[in-house]
Amino acid sequence: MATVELMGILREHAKAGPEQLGPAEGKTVADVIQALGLPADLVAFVMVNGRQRPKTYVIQSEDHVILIPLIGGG
Amino acid sequence: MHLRADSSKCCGCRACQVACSLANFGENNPKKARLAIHPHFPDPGVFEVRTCTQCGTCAEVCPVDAIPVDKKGVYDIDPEKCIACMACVEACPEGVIFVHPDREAPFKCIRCGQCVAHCGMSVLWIE
Amino acid sequence: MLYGYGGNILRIDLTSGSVSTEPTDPKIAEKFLGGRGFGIYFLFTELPRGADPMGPDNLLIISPGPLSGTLVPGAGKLDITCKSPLTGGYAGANVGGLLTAEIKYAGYDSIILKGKAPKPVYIFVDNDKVEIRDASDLWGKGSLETEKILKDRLGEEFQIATIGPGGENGVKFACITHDFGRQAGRGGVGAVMGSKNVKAIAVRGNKSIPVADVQAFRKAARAMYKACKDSSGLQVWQRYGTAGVTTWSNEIGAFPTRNFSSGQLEGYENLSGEVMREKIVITDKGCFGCPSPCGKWSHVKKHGVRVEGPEYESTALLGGDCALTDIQDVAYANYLADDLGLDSISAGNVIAFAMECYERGILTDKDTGGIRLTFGNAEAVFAMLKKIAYREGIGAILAEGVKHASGVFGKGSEAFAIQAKGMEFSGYESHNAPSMLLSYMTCDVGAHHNRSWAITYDIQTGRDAVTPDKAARVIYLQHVRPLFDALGACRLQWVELGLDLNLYVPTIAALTGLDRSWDDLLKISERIWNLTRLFWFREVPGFGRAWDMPPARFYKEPVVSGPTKGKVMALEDVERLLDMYYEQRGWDANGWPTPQKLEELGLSEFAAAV
Repeated sequence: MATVELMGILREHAKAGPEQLGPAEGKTVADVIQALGLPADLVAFVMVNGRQRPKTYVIQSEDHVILIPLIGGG
Repeated sequence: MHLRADSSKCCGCRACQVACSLANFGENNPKKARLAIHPHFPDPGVFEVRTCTQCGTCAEVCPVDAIPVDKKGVYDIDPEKCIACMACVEACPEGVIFVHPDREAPFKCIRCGQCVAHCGMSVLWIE
Repeated sequence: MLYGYGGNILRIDLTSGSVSTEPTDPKIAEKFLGGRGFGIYFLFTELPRGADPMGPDNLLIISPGPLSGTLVPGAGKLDITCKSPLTGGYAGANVGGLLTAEIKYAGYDSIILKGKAPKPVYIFVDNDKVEIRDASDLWGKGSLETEKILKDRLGEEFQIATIGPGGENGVKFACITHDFGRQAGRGGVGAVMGSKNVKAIAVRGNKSIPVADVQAFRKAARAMYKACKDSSGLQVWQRYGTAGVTTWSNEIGAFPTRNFSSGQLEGYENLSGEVMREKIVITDKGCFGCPSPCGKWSHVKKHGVRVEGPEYESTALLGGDCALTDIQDVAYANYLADDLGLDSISAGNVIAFAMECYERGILTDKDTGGIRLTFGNAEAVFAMLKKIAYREGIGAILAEGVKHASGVFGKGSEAFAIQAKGMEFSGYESHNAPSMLLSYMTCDVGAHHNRSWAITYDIQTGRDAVTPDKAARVIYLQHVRPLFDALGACRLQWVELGLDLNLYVPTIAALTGLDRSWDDLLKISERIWNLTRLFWFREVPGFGRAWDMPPARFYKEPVVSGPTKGKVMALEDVERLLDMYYEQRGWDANGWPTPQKLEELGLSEFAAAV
């Protein structure tokens, strides 16, 4: 089963918790972000099993997805 | 048991060396550290970390028995007994016995672990 | 005893060949801290007014800060300051690696070069031994080859900085390269070094940096390293460095594309940090003391070279802005820029500008010497980098910078020369990011993002809003971020790993023996910022509000494609942003610090000299 984890300020901004979502398999990361009630642009990095993916990535069944906000700058 | 390194993870930052000098000499000076970082750039473009394996070669070659080993298997140079002949520096198979103009006696790793605590890339461990 | 410092200022007069040192003045250290603070202090007080930036009177001031070379995450940053040949104002470029630490270990807090050597030389520093050595066998060689030769000749312990043909040939955005892939990039610092006939600087030192309270310092430093290692952002950052930003920047439409006409490049997925990792990255390479190395040493198999990078800015300006979609082509362009000694940001921006001119018919094949200078043509980028470095054909005009080039080409091209104060914009397309646009307008070297990276604030608070809090945010960032440049350390542990700024306070206090709060330190930064502003007024005739305005593209030409398609600033909003900024800074309507502000910062005497 795919899991989704939120980091940092995303936890405060989300309108629903990842546990409240249905199965994430087959959805894009963008879909999941929307279902969580998060502004997409606030999610800076999407890591799936330790690799960065774009928000168009389709989540697979054993994926561990971490959503990370950009903290401050470059 | 000794300090070990996975060189493939090293990013060359030298935090290990500064942590070492602060812990063992109370000074901020990586030139007084007890492990070596050798950069190989531009080709192949990697860092080579050398640590003391507590092999005892230094103690064997020391003409004045200035490098005792403790109960835990750690060799340390006694600066009072050392005559600064540099035989240990030459003999060390890893090239990790160090000298510095401020100090008469060479110095070596005593497996204190401070380098391990500060390495951000998980290069170092003691085993 | 000046705890935390190397202890001496090293002065080298290249004309006479004389070398002297003096102890670092504790009062200057207290007021200006070090690094960028020492840079502007010495530049303002010692540069003859109106000096030619390419002439012998210009100063090249190379300064670590108190944190440089100490047990602090990211203690690896060096400031290089001079009067800029690109803008005519202040240039303060920052370079990572290990050189800053080595300068401290040799016992110095600033190395000040003035004059001009009669023939090519390199500066040799080995603790107290300082020599000006012949470099005629090195002149003409690439930056990277030069560093390798000096490392082999002098020993791996020496830290080396070099210029390439770009600096030798006075390209106005020539850079200085160190550690095979780090640059003091912006403002033409490489051209100034070349104008002095200095090919390289080689430093070794083995002295200890004095620490006021060793046990307290060790404890505070350990807490900082632990916090970095526990950070949720560490994995991303270690794996990709700044290249991790490429994906996000495109997703939000902030990726400079085709000369800032769009904010997203079709095919941007091929430029991502993960693609880089798969195709070319060999080693994570860090600056001094860094637990989160952003440097990516890469083997570019397609072109047979090794390069550090490309990091985000090079990908944005050589990649997106020129519309290249193959990461190996971007990496090769990065390599060429590094070895030729050109700022990859300005070079990419200038080439993209020339591409737009070519596509509009303002430049022809005759002008380009037969090069098809169209967006997406990688071979054209490679060829133009060489033409610029050697000032060949059209390269001679582009070597002067995009502002100058647009003046020469005319035909309305000034409107899309993407620069402010004569410096080319860096990697954030800002049609729809008012805080970021204001950051570029008011940055003290010209259009660069390092002083205030405010785009996340626009994303968090609403991209269309033009409100006073945005000016406040820019001002705050312009004090915090350059504070790191004065301390001689990297800000990215705070920015990217969320390292608590409060952890720096006890560390700095234990190191220096001076108890200062974070607000005390920010005040020093504000002082540095205002002194820099005075320098611009002093050196640039007619300097004022007009120099803080962006190019017309941002308020006349909507974004043509991507997530921000159709977005454009209103000129009145641009003016309003600037008004709010001046007001909150305590500056008058022309951007001049008011007497009260100068008094508050202890700068009234300096102002009298303007």
